[in-house]
Amino acid sequence: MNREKDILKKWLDEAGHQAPSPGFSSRVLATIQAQEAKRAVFKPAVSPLRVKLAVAGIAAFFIGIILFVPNGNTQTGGASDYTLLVQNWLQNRASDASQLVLDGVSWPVLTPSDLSFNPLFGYALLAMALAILLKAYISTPFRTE
Amino acid sequence: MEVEKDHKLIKASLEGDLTAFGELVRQYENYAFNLAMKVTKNREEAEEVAQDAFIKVYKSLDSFRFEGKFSAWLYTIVYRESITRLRKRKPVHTHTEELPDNIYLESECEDGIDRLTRTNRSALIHKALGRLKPEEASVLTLFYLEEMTLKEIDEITGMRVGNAKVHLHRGRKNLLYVVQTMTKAPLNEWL
Repeated sequence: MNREKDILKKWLDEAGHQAPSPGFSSRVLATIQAQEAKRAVFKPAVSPLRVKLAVAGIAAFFIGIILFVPNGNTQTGGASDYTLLVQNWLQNRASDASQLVLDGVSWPVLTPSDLSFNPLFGYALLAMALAILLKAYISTPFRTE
Repeated sequence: MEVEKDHKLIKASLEGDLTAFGELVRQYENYAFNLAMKVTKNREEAEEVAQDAFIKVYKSLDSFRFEGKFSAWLYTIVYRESITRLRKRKPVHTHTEELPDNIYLESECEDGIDRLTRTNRSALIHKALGRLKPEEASVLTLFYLEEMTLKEIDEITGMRVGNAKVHLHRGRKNLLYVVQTMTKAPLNEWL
């Protein structure tokens, strides 16, 4: 068995590798370059992903302003009109929910003063959202011509 | 070391240096083509397979794990591409049958393989390997020529170690038989 193995090893080592036709490596590189060039030509100036990120960022900014920036109305405690709408809706749902009493379980009693948007909380959320969007924008790989 | 040199070239290729990748291709083109030939048994197809494999390698270079050998990774891709190509066409019957060997002088064949010139001997071995089944020819090539272990062959080809052993054993037997048939001399002259 060992001798047989040695002979086969000897034969195959001597036979060596068969080679492709001349210029093989150049052809491989040329094909890769052609494929790369083809891909770059059809890329849009701004990638669809970046467009979406930019729109989402702008929308988050404006929604944040609408919801959280005070409108100067002292009677409502400085809350914006839209914030008041949301607060009222939540208060109505809370009062409906507090009517429900299950055996052995009682819902927490919610009062209107419990429900208000803290502007600082809103700003913090907005800042986080913008930071995430900016990070995604920076890290998105994109090739240009 | 060969492995470190390969890793350097891969890192340069990842940074966009196509010349470095070209160097890798030049270094391994014979290995890739040789393995593809053992499976496809056709020069043109083997070249296409090897080319496609290198392109696939380039596109997935960022998934290469630097703990392993580049050659093993390349062979895996080449082998799988070859098998895919083979399955797309009708299989060619490769097992032992008489083929005309016009390149040899009759007297040289009669005296056995050792009397052949080196060039003819190499051509005969390649021809004999071409008549084996793809699995047997590729296992013999990887085991003897590339000096891979059965475990590495298992990782490259997807055959289990047990199957690889069986193909190796049968491949040895069949190669000796084919060589004997082609040189028309009994085995015990060179065993």
